[in-house]
Amino acid sequence: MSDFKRVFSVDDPAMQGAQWWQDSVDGNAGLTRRTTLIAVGVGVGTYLAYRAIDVIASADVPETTRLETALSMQRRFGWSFGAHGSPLRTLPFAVAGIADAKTVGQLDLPPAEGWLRPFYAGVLAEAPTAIPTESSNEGTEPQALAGLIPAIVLDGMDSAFRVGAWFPEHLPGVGDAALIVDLAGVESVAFAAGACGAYSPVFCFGNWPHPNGVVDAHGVLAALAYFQPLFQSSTQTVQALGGKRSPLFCLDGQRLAPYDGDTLTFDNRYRVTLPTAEILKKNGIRTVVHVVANAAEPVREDLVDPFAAYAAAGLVVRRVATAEFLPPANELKLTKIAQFAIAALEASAKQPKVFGGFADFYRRFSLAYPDVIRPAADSLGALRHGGAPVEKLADAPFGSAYTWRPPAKPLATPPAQIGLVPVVLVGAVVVGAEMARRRGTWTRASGGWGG
Amino acid sequence: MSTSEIFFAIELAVPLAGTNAGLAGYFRSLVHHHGEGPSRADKAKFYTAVAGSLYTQLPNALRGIWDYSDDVNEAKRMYADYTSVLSTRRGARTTPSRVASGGVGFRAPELPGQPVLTATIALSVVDGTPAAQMIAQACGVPKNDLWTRRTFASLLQLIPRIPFSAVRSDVFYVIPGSPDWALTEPDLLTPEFSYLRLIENR
Repeated sequence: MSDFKRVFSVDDPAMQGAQWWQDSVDGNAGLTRRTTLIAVGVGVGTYLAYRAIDVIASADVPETTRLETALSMQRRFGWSFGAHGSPLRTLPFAVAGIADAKTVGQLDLPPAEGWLRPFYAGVLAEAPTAIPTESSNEGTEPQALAGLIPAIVLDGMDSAFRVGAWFPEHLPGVGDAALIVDLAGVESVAFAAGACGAYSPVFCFGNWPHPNGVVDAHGVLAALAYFQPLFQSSTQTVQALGGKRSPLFCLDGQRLAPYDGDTLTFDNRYRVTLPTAEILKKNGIRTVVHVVANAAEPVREDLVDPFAAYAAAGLVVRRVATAEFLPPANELKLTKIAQFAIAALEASAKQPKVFGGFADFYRRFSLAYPDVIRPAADSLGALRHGGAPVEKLADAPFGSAYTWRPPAKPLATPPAQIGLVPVVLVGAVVVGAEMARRRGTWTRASGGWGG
Repeated sequence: MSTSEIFFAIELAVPLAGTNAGLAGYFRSLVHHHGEGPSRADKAKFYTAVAGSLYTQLPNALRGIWDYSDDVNEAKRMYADYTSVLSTRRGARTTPSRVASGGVGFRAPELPGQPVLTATIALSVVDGTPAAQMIAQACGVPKNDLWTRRTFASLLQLIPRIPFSAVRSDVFYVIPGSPDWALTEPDLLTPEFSYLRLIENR
């Protein structure tokens, strides 16, 4: 028997709790407690979500604004909080309609390896099927995100996929290297798909899409949906065969993109959490390879401290730029893993990319990264010949091996606050996003609404 | 017809480290299982578990507060104030205070000091009932003993014995929901938590 009724609950990383009422002993229920329940229909096959809103009965209660965490507001009021009904931004990649909504709803892809799971961020995968628990002061309700994700085609990700496929194909014995892939989100996912035969992708995507988001997280969802069968089958294969894969931390390089503070833009940025050096070493990792698009990119703020800590703990931290991978001079034979991946993706007849663009890629890579893979004995002489390898190989296309060094010191200043959005409150109650008020989509008079 | 009411609340700030690291998850589990429509018996079980857990933590508690009022207007105001924290999230962090266990990410400026969890229980109880009398009796504490561990202990032991048939409304909340968003000791020194008292060791 239900004596009490829950009228408000909070459950997020910053806070948890609930309030209950017992109407049978509340002689003035509904009048004094200023609380009402509003039912929100969420579509066929789902259920009704109820929420409690403190109804501000008096119109003279002043409106105020404050900053709230973007993700918690999206969870409460819907992924498009402040811009319900607005379209998602067009992606700079080829698309073919809308992705299969069922697949988009099944993108929770944790790594098979137990020690990697704490670093997997399943936040993004929750977004397509999440149900808001409250309504904001906007005139429309959020659309179902699962039905809005574009269907990406391989063309947009072909290059990153092929570079990713190069790693397991040519560095099969490098079991002690962890990859940190820090490309634009879509490309990081494509890279991971190419490499997932030998590397276990750990997706570190800690935000939700938003029509006006700083970060185009819907592109990442689209890429995950495209490669989902490949990720699933590679994980199942590893589990079935008991194989061991090295970690590949899959990051969205746009996660800390510049933001000017405009309230018409939604700050869905976030930072990532990587394992400590101790955990990496405990699991056999000796080398960390930071994969970026261009060698000259600065290290993003949230990786400065980890890289400094890794280097201080004796891990080798190196950087490889995908720009250093070029079409091969000679046709290369694909491994079975790459063949499977290519077939699964109905790839074109394009050839894979190789490091430096030379047929002797393995020797060149080993010369450039002797601490990632040991050069063959006959290559060592060349490495030592003529003095410093930097000068010897300075004109090679893979300059990052010699010009890049990980940060030696932690951040000098505390990082700026990110992932916050201004919200409007009436009294103590959040009634909507400042963005919606500025956009003119405020349809109910704030301060006097309820269910 | 509106019934008169009394107000009672208790809040403790306890370390969220070492063997206590799972406390936030434990409370989340309790709230989750307590559900949307608990019975009075469920309510008693719930607060037995909550108060029992806080009682266990009491020797380590850093700060705390308890409140009581039998003035109907003040009781309404105080209950509304405590309850409003759920919607205003007053005191909750807007950014994580540390990275996940075993992880390394960014360096938060508040890192000094151990992680802290605050747990709050507030009750609105119908006046003139045995429950209200029981609470009034327990809260009749001499001024010198207001903030001792012994007083907090007796109040925590009181909570599971309250007849919940007379409880109009109750609220329970915990900051943080996840250890990565734990408060820090410097957080407790901010104005948001200025009401918390140092607990005397007697």
